[in-house]
Amino acid sequence: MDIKVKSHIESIEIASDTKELIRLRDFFSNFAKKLKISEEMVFHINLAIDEICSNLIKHSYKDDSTKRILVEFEIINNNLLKIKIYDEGEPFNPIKFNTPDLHNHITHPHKGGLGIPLVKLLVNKMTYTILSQNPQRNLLEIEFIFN
Amino acid sequence: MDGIPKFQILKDFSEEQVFLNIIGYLDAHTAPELELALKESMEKGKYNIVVDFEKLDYISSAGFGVFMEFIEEIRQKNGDIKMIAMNSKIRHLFNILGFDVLFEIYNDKNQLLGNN
Repeated sequence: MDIKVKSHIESIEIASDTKELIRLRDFFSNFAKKLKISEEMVFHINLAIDEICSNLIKHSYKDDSTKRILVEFEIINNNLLKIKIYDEGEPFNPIKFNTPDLHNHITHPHKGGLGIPLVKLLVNKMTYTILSQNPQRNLLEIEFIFN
Repeated sequence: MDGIPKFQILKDFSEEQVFLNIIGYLDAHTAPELELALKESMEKGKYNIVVDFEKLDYISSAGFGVFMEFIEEIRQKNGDIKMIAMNSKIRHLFNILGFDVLFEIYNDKNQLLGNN
C-alpha cells in the first residue's frame, strides 16, 4: 500500500533583535490559520518559539542585531508540527540546561530563567544539534502533536 | 503595523492603590516598559499595585519575570501586586506555571474591591 505523507513547509528569517519577535508571532499566527488548532494552542506554540528566540537574541547573539535566526515550520499530515530554529551563535543546549524547577520560582521569585522550563512544559519533543563549528551553526527542533 | 503601539501602559497613581492597565503584547521587547512603570510606582512610595490585564493579548516569560523581580521587595514594604481581568489563555498559563499561588488574581475590579 502506498502511504502518502502530506507535508507543507514555510520559513521566516528574523534579525537578532527583540523588536522582531512580534513579526515572528504574526508569521506563525498566519501559518496557523491553515491548521485546525485552537487559539490556545497557537498561543502556546508562539510562546515556545518566542522564548527560544529571546534566549538566542540575548545570550547566544548578545543582542547583536546583525545576526540572523531562521525559523522553519513544517506541518505533517495535519497533526504534527515540526519547528526548526537555526542560529549561528554561541551554542546553547537547552535540553542539557539544568533548570531549577518552577516551584523554586514560587518560593523564591526571581526575574530570569523562566523561559526554558516553560518551553519544556509546552513542547512534545525537543532536540538540539550542532550542525557545524566553523562557521558555527546550531539547530533546535521542537515538535507539537495535535489530535 | 507601524503606528499602532505594540504595548502600552495606562498608569493611574491618583488613588492609594495604583492601577496599571497593560495593553497589547508584553514580550522581551516591551517588558522594560513595565519594569519602568513598577519602578516609578515604588519611587512614589506606592506599593499597592493592581495590574489590569483586560486588554493584554500576549505575555511571555520576560513579562511575568518583571512581576517576579519586584514582588518580594513590594511585599517587604507591606504592599502587593494584584492582578485582574486576565483572558482565559493568560489565566491558564499562570495556572500551569503555579503563579496563581504566588499572586492574587481576580476576575474583575468589582471582585477585587469586594475582597479588599
